[in-house]
Amino acid sequence: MAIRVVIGEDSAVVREGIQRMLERIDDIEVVSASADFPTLRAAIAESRPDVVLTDIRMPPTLTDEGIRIAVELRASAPDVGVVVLSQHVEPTYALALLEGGSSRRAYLLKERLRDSTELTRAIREVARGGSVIDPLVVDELVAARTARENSPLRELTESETAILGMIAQGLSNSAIADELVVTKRAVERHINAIFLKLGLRDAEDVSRRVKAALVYLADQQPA
Amino acid sequence: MERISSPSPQLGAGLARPVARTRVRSVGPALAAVAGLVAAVLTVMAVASSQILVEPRLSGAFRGAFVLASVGVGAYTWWRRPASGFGPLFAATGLLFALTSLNASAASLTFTVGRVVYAVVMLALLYVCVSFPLGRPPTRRERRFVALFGAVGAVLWLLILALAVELPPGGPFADCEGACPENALRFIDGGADIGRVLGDAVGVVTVAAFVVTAVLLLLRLGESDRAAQRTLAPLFLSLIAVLVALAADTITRQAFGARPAAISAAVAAAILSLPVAMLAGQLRGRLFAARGLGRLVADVAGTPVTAHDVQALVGDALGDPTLTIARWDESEQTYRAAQGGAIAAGAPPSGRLQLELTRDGRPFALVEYAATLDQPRDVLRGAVAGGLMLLDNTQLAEERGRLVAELRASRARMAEATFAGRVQIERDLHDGVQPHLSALLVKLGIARDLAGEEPELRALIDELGDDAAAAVSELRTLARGVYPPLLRERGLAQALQAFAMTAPVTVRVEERGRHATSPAATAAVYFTVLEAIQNAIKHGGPDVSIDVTFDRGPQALTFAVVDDGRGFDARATETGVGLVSMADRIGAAAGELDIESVVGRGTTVKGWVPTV
Repeated sequence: MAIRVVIGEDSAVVREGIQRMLERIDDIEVVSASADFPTLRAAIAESRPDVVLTDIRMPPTLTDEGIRIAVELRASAPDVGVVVLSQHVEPTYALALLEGGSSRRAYLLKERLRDSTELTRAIREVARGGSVIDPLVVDELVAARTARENSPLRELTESETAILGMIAQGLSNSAIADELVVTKRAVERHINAIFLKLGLRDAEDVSRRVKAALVYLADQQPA
Repeated sequence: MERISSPSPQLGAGLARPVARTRVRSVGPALAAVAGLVAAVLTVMAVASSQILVEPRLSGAFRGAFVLASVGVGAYTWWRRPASGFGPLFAATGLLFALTSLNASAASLTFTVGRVVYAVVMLALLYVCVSFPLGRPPTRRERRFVALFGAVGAVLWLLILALAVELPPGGPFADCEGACPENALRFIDGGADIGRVLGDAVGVVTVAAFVVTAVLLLLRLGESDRAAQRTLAPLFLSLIAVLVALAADTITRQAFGARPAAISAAVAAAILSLPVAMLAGQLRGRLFAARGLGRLVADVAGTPVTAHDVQALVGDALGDPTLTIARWDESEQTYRAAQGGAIAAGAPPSGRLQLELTRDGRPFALVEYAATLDQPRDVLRGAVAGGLMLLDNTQLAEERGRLVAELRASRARMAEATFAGRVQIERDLHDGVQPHLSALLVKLGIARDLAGEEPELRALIDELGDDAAAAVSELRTLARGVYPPLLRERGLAQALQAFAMTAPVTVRVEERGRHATSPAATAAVYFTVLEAIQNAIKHGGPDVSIDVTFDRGPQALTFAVVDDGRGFDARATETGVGLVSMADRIGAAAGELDIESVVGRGTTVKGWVPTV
């Protein structure tokens, strides 16, 4: 069964482009496309999609309508996944998106539109219950934290640091194993070591650990 | 007094007709002084060589001293206060006193005239006392009293001259015991007793007259302002001394029929104290005016004054509440009073005098005051010049305040315009450029899919994608520098927290309070704090940690960026462009910025902007 997607994007050219791009994907079906917040909200209520793919800013306020939709849906329709397309690299927005939990949420920079595989991977991931955070957002955080003189990140090995970044991006253990060309067991060992060194919990729960890692990297007190 | 006007020497330097008038002014006093000196010398010579007086030397010394003192004080007063008639009056009284030396003569007619002159001098002296310091009796009650005393004295003396063989005594040290010549003008023999009774009556009337004079003076003291009180007080004391001494003289003469030398000395000293008291009173009055003016300047300096205030203050300091100060109105070519009305120069109403002040040879101010105002013109000129300087200061301060407010407002407008410009640019970037780039990216994505397995085409599309992604990244950096979206959407603390997350050192951001700031002020604080953080990161050393606090009070948002880095020597460091631009930004938002740094202990940048 195809993943039913509702699109929210105020720029007609971009909206049609995304539609066109996703039409070519077999397991994804675009059910509607809206140009502003109220219309998108109505479309979601009407068609109950699996995933909402939305621009972060839309009329009427052109600020963070995409995140507001995600926060609303966390309460009203927790099964609906949300992929937010954003031009902001600041982790603040990604953290706001994960505020109520990281499952079924993806935060992608608009740069990802240049490659349909990245977009579809995120859609499939949130439909499955996972989460995705744009690597650029995570990379900036990892770089800043590692630069700090007395940061616990300095106690991590290079591959451990890389794995922490991948965790924050939402990669599963097997995805990390594929990426690093190691066994899944080795990845699990690494992850346990990292979480122990950093004093973090929830090493096993993939969807929770995304937020934990991101919050840790952003140097925020966990909520 | 002149020192007050010293910052502008021309100010107050001139009466309208200064030189000629000053020269004329000093002729009278000089002539009086010379005449007084000559009269005193002649008096001493004439009296000291007297054949009939018991104490010729003491008498000569007393009379010479009194002539000298009276004419001297009269001449001085004439010179200092030419407008007052008191100087000539007192000088004339002194010269008249010289004629009492006629009673040192053994010739009976000369002797008689001398004694009569003494009686006239006593009348003149009382007139001088009630006329001090203005030169004429201040009210009708003084005039009536002097007239009454003159009339009673005249009657008594006519009777004495007609009837008495022996004339009443002529002041201290004027006794001649049995050697006194007889009354040269007697035409009826009234007997020795008549002479003594009339003589005693003259003595009692004289004492009574001095008592009344003292009482009148006491009444005037009660009605006067402080400046006048200080002028009159010495004369009052002197009058008390005179009447006590005269009373003692009269009583001892009646009781013992003789005059002890001590009593004569007391009377002489008391009478001599009169000119001294009048001089002291005038000097005290001047001193008081000087103090009043000093206080005027000291009390008022630094506080805003109006033309009205200056007029009231100067009038109060000089003791003339009716004093009016008019300033020259260049456009109307007339003097304009503080109350607004025009005042014509050169034609003061009766009972009033005018003084014109020039500045750089041009009309500047006109003072109109009561003709009875007992202040020398230079004191008046100094007071008015000083007062007007206070007014000038006020007007300059107001002008400065207006300019500062104007500059501040224009700076705020410029800051507001800059801020609006930033917001517009940021919006243009996001709403104008960003969608085109996004469209380009998504079309590249579609093209990439359409290219299928064409390796060359795919590689080219990926290159294009890299270029587009680089453009997006550049655009993002640019927009963030112009006006970060987070600042607009989530406020100061969150925008800076976002920066803190990606900073290579620990930056803690704390915010207290809820009072909001204007968008322009918010932006000013944001960019200032951001720059302070970036400076701390750049110069503070690798292990610096930075604490940013915001405190939003009802009046002001205060902020501080405190680091524990290396610090710098503020005195040795030229105020860098960065520091100046930080201060400028906050200043334009109507706030203040302060930077403190200690080598080895870090830097604190703190400041405030108003909340709304």
